[in-house]
Amino acid sequence: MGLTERINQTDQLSYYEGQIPVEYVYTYGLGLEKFFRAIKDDGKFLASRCLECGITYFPVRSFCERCLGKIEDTVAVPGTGKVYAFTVVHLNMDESPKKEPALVALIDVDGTDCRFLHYLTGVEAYEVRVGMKVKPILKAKKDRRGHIEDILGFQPA
Amino acid sequence: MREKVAIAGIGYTAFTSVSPGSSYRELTYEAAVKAYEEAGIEPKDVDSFVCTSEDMLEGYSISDEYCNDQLGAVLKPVQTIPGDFLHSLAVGVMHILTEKFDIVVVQALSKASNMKTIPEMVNFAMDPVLNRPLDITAYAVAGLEMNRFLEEGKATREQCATVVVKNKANALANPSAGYGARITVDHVLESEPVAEPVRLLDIAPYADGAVVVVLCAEKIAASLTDKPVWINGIGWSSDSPTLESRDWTDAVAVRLAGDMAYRMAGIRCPAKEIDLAEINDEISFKELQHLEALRLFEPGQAGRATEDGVTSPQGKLPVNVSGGGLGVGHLFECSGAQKVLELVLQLRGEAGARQVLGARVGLAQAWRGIPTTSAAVAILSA
Repeated sequence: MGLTERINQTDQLSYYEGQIPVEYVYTYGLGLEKFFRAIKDDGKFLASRCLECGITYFPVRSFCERCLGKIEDTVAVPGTGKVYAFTVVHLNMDESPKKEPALVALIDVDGTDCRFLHYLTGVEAYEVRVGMKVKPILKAKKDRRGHIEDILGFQPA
Repeated sequence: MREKVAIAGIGYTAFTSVSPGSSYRELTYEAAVKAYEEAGIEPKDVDSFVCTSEDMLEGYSISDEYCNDQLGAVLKPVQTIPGDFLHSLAVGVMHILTEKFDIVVVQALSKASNMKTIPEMVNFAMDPVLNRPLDITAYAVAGLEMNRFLEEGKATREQCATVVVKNKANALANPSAGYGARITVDHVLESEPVAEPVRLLDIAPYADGAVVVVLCAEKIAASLTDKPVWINGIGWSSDSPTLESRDWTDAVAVRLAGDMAYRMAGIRCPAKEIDLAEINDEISFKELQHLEALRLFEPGQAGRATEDGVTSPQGKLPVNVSGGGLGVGHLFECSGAQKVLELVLQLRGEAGARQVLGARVGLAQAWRGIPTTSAAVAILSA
């Protein structure tokens, strides 16, 4: 067994380019429906607490990932938090350089056991510190559609 | 006494930045033919096959359907694992431990150069509602994790860069490695920023390659090979996939996978009992984080040890003598297979210029890569 020949001329190399359109609809489910509705309608942030494990999830979840218990109640949290980690992203998805690097942070969300990924706004990269207090900035109510983009980012509180 | 599992043969291609002369099927075919040749078997002798495949990375839907023909596995028992090769190896080991299968073949492949939009595909692994709409590459996840790692004082930025310098230099002694180079810490620190603090040279560059391993039961090992390598322990674990509730600092899944493998192998003091380790280093700091998760160094000590040469090929615990992902190339689901390959060569005393003298017990660790939290560990011995 084994191939006894190899292509040894680059101008003899052939290939076929393939693409497919990839489109999905991702339904929110019970948990995220409540979370994004509260942002859209009331500008409020909701979390959910597993009474069994004492874990508070953010955003809202309908079950606990540790004990698998159902979580029905939501708890309001201010949406504020502290920068847990941050990064300056320099590349676009096609690996070309971004015109403006993006300042992205993981926010330790107050009153919860979770961290939340979003942009930092109104602050320069050199000014950001881990532990810095931040608050969420929402779009105007008329522009909110119940998406993650309803949050413009987090800025120093 | 439990049945033992041996590696009776291994076949592999070179690990290269591109592989235009071969299709993905021919890469696996090349590795399979070499593995069967080494074990002195033919496909008809194999009782079951375990492949490793992820649809987006292969460019096929239901890609596991396309795994069997290039292995000689048509009309044979085949199953496919979407994970790292080490997850597939665990399945192969379990097949043999049932004592219903004597010879099992395990395969993994990377044809990364076939993928034209890798950042898009990796980003597609993020949560579609919460994370993906932010339109930032998944490298941001590595940037955040490294920022926290440094912030907590687990290592210095220079120590992370030293990992890159070491692994790329190690790869120069590995004829199969695609990315060997003699560079300095400054080269790493001054390379193009990707998701700061992660820079271009901190990231294992993509590579192509295939590995096929022939496993067998102890009772027939002597009939297939004079130099069996034994799989003494294997373990795997996954943390929460969500960015929101996962652990961000300690690679907990790696720790749990390691502890599971150590228990099976009867290893009580890893730092004393492991002679060499092949560790996932997809991003420079991950090697240090993973070494500590595996209890090979005390918390916060792996960076200093790397600077002091403890993990160099001549050090007390050589780490990524092969060059690791940074020097060999990032092989996606084939990454763990390249690590097992290196241990097999080392434990047989066939590693040539990079042979670690007296290597008897080796550890291979895989992480499924950004943005995942899945890990697997195997302990091998001569």
